Formats: sequence, structure tokens, C-alpha cells
Amino acid sequence: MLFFIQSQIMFYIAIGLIMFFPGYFLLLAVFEKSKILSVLEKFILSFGLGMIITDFIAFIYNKAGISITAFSSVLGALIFCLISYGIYILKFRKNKKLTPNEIEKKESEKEKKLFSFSKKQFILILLLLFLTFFIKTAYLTGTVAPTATDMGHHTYWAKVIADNGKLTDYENMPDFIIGEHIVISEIHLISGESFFSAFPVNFLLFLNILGILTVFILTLRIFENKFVAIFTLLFLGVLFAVTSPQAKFVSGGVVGNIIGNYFMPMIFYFFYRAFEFLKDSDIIKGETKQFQSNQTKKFLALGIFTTFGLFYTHHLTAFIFLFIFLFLVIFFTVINYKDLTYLSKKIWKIIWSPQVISVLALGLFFFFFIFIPNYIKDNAVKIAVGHPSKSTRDGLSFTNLKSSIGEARLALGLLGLMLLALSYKRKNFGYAIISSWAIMLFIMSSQPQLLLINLPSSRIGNYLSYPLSILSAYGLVAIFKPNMFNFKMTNANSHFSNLISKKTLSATFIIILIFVFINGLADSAQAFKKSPDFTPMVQTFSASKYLAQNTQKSDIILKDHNYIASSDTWIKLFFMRGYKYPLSRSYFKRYKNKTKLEKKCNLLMISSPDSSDAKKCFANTQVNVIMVNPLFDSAQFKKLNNFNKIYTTSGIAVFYKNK
Amino acid sequence: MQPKKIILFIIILFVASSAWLFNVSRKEINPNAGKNWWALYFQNPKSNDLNFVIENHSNQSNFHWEVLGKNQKTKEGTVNITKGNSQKIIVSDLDFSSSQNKKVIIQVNTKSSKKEIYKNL
Repeated sequence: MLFFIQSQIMFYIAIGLIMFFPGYFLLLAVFEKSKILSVLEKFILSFGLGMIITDFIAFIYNKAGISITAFSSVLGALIFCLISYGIYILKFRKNKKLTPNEIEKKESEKEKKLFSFSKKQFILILLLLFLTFFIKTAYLTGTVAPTATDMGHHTYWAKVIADNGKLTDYENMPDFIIGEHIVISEIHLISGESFFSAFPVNFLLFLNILGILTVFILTLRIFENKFVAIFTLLFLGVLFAVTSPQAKFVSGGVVGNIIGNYFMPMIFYFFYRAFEFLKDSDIIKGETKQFQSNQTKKFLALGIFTTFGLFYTHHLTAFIFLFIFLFLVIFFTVINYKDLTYLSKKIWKIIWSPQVISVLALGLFFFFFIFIPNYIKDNAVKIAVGHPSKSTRDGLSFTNLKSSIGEARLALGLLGLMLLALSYKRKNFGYAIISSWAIMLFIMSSQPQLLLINLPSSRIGNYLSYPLSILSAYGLVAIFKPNMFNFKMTNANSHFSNLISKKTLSATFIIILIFVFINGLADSAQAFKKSPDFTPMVQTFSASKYLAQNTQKSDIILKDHNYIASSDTWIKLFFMRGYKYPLSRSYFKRYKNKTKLEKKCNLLMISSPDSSDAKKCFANTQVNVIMVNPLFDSAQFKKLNNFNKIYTTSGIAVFYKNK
Repeated sequence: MQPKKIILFIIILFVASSAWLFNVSRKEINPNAGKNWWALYFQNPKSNDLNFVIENHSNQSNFHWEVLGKNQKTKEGTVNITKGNSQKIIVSDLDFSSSQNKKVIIQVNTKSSKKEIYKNL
């Protein structure tokens, strides 16, 4: 029990050491004690920045041949924190600013105003946060056991890094990216928590919540409206809390998506803060202008830094981000074409600054000379671009989108998009971000052929829930509190308010809210299902442990994926003899159109071990150990005199080929 | 002050959630907690050695074992193994040298279930 408590405490310490503190000290070095970021924003953003810093430290270690251990991980983080603190002290001494100046006081007041909530709002935020955690935790209670296929794959790679003390080349597979595994690996090294514990799920749950909170602060900054931000928390955190890409992705170990859904809003946040000034650029003058210009460059530099972090973490999110970003640039340029010369001068000044250029150059240097992501080396981009090659990549229908995002969120989101167009502020970069984010994802998920995207449409559709949650919140608040927004159709707006009585408006609001809650909480029913029986899982692990102790690397193991409990992808963690070890008999449907013998070997060696083809396969593959479910695959081995049944439980049997 | 309270609340919620999930996963991964199964395996799977192990994670504690060679019982016994424990059964004193190319089966029974492992010598 003492060890259990101690390892948990170490887990939180590890999160603090390699995720929070590096990010926090980076923000301290960049912004000093400036109030341009609220305490809440610093807290939410620090973890993401810290993760990217940890990745970059690991790249340096790898290049320098320094082993990645618990000690070196902590040391690297501490050195970074000390350097950042040193920079902060130097800047502080140089500026000798013991008291904030007038501009900073104004910023502080703005931040205070934006982040001080009424008592009711404050309670509502706490309630929404509680419900978000509660629903997700309730769902994860039944799924926290190490059974998820993807989680098995990811933890294997994290263990490879931890065991070898260096980064991996993923056996030249482009499906995995280094940023998905460095932090998990280091948390394991520092805390000592087993990969078979709840730590990977807890880590992803935390990132999932941080992603939601990032959207919350992004919304608050863009709309400067607390109602919209709070409703965003409702639409993204509480409603549809289980369905993909929320708790289901957490339990399923969809690591890249979870981190991507944290980093992408972070990038948008930094980009928005960098170009936030554009909306007031006509009225800002003198010292304030200079101050804002400095802060702007810092935000853009942080945005670029986070973009590199994203590219080192998840290629799908990075790919989607590129499309959104491109659309954002075109969209913002088109709607501001009248002021293009004026705006481009301002934007260019920011981009062409030492802060931005140095981060860009450093990022590119790392990207091409220190550690190249394997998806770049293996041309994964070519696979993602082209005409859709499968029906699942043809695009989602409206019905598909409804089930993917949720009817209420889709309806209100589209309404929100229309209302945003009505109250559109051309120079508000935030409005352009939200619109581009939603519109581009709509196109990518429903009409991929227009953009020559050859990726599973449902995977892209999952990303829509983020911008649509913001737009749903905006839509809901804009309908019932239209005076909060500057609608261009002011006459129509006032007519709208006059036409409908206050009572009718309140009743409509309640009816819509009921519809939203019924629709949005329907998936949460899954959270309270009875947990399955995990006996097959422990039997699989027990057999794997037995084989790990009694076999060598020269023994080739073949296991079945069809009838062994879903935890079979975790078997390889017991051996650590390669990603594709043990071999696997895949789903039967996958062998249907295979004609070449070597492609069918894993099927034949289990299904008909005495056939002449199977014998050839045994000779070629050197398979000598078979793991199967005895209820389905035992009889064919029993009648053979060259197989010994060496291990059995009710769910797993192991056969050893002795001749 | 409010943002600090929100941060504190987030930390408390995360610690509570993760502590709960750590505890749940600890139980789920535990082969004994709430589970009822047992395993039978050879101590040395690659050799001709027939010593075997019964690993008990079930509510049964009485295990009756038999060694069958040429379909005949050559040795038998009963062991008492409590939940969470395992017992090695030594049968290396049996001589199967004259049983080349013969199957030797280890059969273990409890009140409710039966399992067998075998070696082709």
C-alpha cells in the first residue's frame, strides 16, 4: 500500500518536473511577471510548452549520445528551468522594473476583468469542471485496464525508449511519432509507475482536460465574453464527454490525437494573441503600440514553437493544422483585401523580428539536423495526399457528421457560424481562426476529394467537435443575449428582440437547453455500464510472463488476435523483442484476398498446422511457440505428435513445437 | 483570486480521479482480486522434464492430479493450494525412457473444472 501511494506521488512529481516547470519557467523568461497572461492561462499552457521542451531536450540527448534516464530527464528539465530563471533575472535587472508601468497596469486590469467571474459564473465553472472529470472518470473506470489495442502499441514504444535510454527509429514505421512517447517514457522512468497501471490513461485524461481548458481560454480571449467561454466548457467538456475524441480516445490510447487536440488550440491561442492587436490597431498609438508589438512577437514565437511541437507529435493533426492555417491566411487576406498593404506591413514587422526568426530557425534546425520525424523520412505525406482510395475516405455525409459530432452540437454550431458571419469583425483574427477551423474541417471531412485528401474521413470529422463547441456556445449566447454582440443587422436584431416576448425567449432557451442536454448526455450512459470481466486479460498476461521467462529471442512466438482477449497487443511488452514480436494471426477477413503463401502463414500455422503449406511456413518463419484460446484452437494441435501443450488456463493455451 | 481557486479545483479533481483510476486498475490487473481461474504449466517447457506447476487464482483449493502415459494412470496425487499461491509437483522420478514417441498427459481436476497439458516424448 505504501508503495502504491509513493508511486502515485512520484507520478504527480514527474508530471510537475517534466511537464509543468519547464513550461512555467519558459513563460517566466519570456513574459517575466507581466500580467499579459492570467494565472489560469499560465497554468494551462505551461504543461503543453513543458512537454515540447522535454521533447527537445530528449532530441539533444539523443544527438549527444546521452542516455535518457530518470536522472538525466530531471537534470535536463532542471537545467532548462535554471537557464530560464537566469534569463528572467537578467531581464529584470536590465529593466529594473520593480513596479509595473502604466501599460502593464492596463494589461493587468484587462486580465483581471476578463478572468473575474460573478459568483454564479464561478460556481457554474466549478460545476462544469466537476462534471467533466466525473463523467470521464466514470467511463474510464470500466476501461482503465490495459486492454486497448492502440495503447498497447504506444506503451511498447515508450518502454523501448525507457529500456534503451535512447530514442527509437520505430523500425522504420511511419505510423508512430516520437513526441507521442518521450514524455510517457520519462514519466515512467521518474515515477517508476508500471505501464500496466492507470498511468498512461491518467496522463491522457489530464491532456484531454488541458485541451478543453485551452479552448476555454481561447474562447474567452477571442469573444471576451464569459458566457460563451462557459458554454464552450459545457459543449466540449460535459456534453459528449465520452464519445470520440474525448474519453473513448483516452481509454483507447489514441495518444497523438489527444496531444494534438491540446496543441492545436494552443497554437491558435498564441497566434490569436500575436495578432490580437489588429482589431484595435487603428486606435493604438505610442508607447502602448511599442509594448504590444514586443508582446506580439513573443506570442508568435511561442506559436511557432508549439507548431514544431505538434509536428513532432502527430502527423494527422499537423496535416490538418496545415490546411486550416492555409485557409486562415487566404480567408483573412481576402476579407481584409482593402487594408492588405497596411496589415501586411504590420504583420511582416512581427514575423521579421529576432524573437520569431530565431525560434523558426531553431525549430527548422532541430527538424532537419537534430531529429527528423520518421514520417518525413518515410514519405507518409504521399500516402495522405491523393484521391480517396477507400470508401471510408470518400467523405462523411450529413448523417455521419451528425453522429460524429452530435446533433445538438452540429445544429447549434452551424447556427453559430452563421451568426458569427452576421456579427463578423474583419480585423478580429480570432473570428478568422474559429471560422477557418470549422469551415476547413467541414470541407476536409465531407468533401476530401476537393483537396485531394486520402485519409479516413471519420478521423478528420472527430476534430470538428472542437470548433463546433465554440460555435455552439457562441450561437446559443448570441440568440438569447444578442445585445452582447455587435450584429451588423442591428435593425433586424432589434426587431427580433421586439417580436418575441421575454417569456417566449426564456421558454425557447430552456427547450433548446433540454434538447442539448438530452442529446449531449446520451453517450454518458456508457460511463455507467458494468465493468467487463478482466479474467481473460490477466490470463493473457500470466501466459506472456511465463513465456518471457521460458523462451529466448530465437524462439518465435505466434499468437492469435481473433479469440485471445483484446489485451493481446500488450503481450509484446513482456518480451520487448521487437514491435512485431510475437507474430499474430490477424482477423480472418484480412486473409480473404491473399494469394501469396507468406501472407497467409500466420493463419495457416494456427488453423491447419499439419497442412503442407503450414509446414513450409513453420520452416520459413521458425515459429515454434503458439498462443491460442483453447476453446477455439486446441484440437488441431492435440492430434499432432510434434506439439506439446505446455501451458493452459481457461482462456489461453500455449503449444511448443518440439520437432 | 478566482483563477487560483479554479486551478486548485482542477488539481484536486485530477488527483482524485487519477487516484481512483490507479486503485481500480490495481484491482483489475491483480490476478486474484474478484477473479476465479487457475493455470497449469510445465516447469521446463522445452525439455522432457515432466515437473509441473499449478497456479491457483480460484476459490477452489483442492487439486487432484494424474500423470497418464500410454493412456494409463502412472502417478496421481492431491494438493491443497490456497488462492494466490502455486505448487510445483515433482514427477521426474517417473521413467518414460521406454516410451519413445509417446504422449504423457498431466491432468488436473478440481470440483468444477479439468485441465490438461502434455508432452510428446
